[in-house]
Amino acid sequence: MEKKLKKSTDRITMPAEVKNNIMEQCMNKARNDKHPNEAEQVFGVERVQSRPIIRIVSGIAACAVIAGAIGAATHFMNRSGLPDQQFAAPVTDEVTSTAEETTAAAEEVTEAVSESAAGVNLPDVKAMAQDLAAEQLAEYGLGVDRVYVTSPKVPKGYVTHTFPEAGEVMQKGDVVTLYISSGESEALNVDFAIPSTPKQLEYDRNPDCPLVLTDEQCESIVSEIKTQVYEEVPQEEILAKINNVTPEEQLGFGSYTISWNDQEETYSWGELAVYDIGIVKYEIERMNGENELKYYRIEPARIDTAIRDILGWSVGYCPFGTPYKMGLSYNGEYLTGTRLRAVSNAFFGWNWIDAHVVDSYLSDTPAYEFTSGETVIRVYEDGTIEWIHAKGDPSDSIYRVDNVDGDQPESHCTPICQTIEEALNS
Amino acid sequence: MVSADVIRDALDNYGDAVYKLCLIMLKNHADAADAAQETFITYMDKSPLFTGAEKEKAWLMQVAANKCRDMLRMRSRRNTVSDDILENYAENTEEYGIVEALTELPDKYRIVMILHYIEGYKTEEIAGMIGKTVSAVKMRLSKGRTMLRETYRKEYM
Repeated sequence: MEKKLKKSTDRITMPAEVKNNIMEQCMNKARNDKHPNEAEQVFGVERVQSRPIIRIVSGIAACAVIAGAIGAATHFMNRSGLPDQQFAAPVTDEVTSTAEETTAAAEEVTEAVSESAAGVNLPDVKAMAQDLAAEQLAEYGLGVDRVYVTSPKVPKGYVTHTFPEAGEVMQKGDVVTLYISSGESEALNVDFAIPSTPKQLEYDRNPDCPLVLTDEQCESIVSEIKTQVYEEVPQEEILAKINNVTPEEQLGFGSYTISWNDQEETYSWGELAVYDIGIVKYEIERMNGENELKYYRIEPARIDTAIRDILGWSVGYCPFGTPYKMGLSYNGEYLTGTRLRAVSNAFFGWNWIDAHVVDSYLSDTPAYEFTSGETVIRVYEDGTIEWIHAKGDPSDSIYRVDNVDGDQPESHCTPICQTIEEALNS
Repeated sequence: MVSADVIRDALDNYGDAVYKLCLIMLKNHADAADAAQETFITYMDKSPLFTGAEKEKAWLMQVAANKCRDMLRMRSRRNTVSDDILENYAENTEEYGIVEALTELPDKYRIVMILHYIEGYKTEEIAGMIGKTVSAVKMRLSKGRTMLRETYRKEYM
């Protein structure tokens, strides 16, 4: 039926008036962006008589304001040396460099901020002492709201980040949230509810090599993530970043994603993803419609090293779980020992990520049929593998593994069959 | 900002696909037209650079899908009802039933069904577009197929 979907929707086309309207809107936009002040044209001219005395008084007043501004700037420039003094006692290399960056950052702020009638571009006050950051922002008419967070690498009292981020256009009187390090690096001890069903791990830098995690690996990785996340990131902050594309696109297309499809315990799908830019996403999607989505901050290099240490890249992947763990029967015989391992490895040995999920198979009768509890796995000579769950599981799928482009196989007996045959004879 | 000519080309090449996605997601001409319009205005604003035509189309589809999702979210807050307008496009009852059944699927299943079965994207490409894992997309397709058949059987047979 799904194949008829395309034909059924072929007649839906964009009406000409919609197309014209879009084109017109785009042209208007282009015109307005080219001449933004068009709307402020002057339609009349009034000649006023010159008043020299007012000019002189205004000139004196302007000079006084400029002199005051120079004095205030000198005062703040001197104060920007404070962070060095604050770090004078127990300094580490990292702290020293942070302090230097802070001083430099404070100097740069004055140059980076541009003020216009439309508002003020929020300066970058990251890694700056909180009071100094607040002062800098106050100079541009911006208020601050302080939130204290744990941070593994930013010293106590320093700004870890802001919301909105630097560069955003703000209006005078707007409030900027300063996230300030509390100097602690304690874990949040987040409770990720992850079922005991098999978990798959996808690694973006090596998309052809997804893994099925062993329980030990999964536990170790999740425990590392739990102890390393140090702050929950408000969804608004993520949403503010993403605007028109999906969060994951903006966060960088992931790094490690552990996902599971639990039909037994909580009947849910979920994933725990660690992104390159130091964000962890935890998402659960239950079949009853309940969703849970949270973001946390993490130090990316540290978690990357930890995950690599745990994995070792030696495990295979199979979309329907780990056959040797589930138990397999062939022709009514329960497979054990070497045969079970060999058949399990045969299923693991395929590049499943490139396999097509297809709607039907070419052969009439399966070459091999395995059962695993209530699940039936059929292997056909055309390279198709059918996975059927007796409960009518939504994950029921038919995979074509050998001829991924859907072509007819050249030989009658394809490699998957050969491999399984060899495994059964082992 | 991209030129009007670029927008015109994009409209000619991908306007139908974008509008089709919006109409099936929103089931309402006015909303679909708005979502499509916002998609192309976003294209003009952001002026993304693409290495190929397919990338351009994928980007537009992704933005359109997000616009639809925003509108659906807004609609659910305002309790707005959508129109039953898809019959105008069907050639026969069966086609109408199939498309109608598709529009009744929950949003997350509908979007992957449209991208895979109507627009012909592979599961890996869809995963990249909607920011889910390949296994999640496969699961949604599988569940979507089952639900589509059930809905069609129940209501149109």
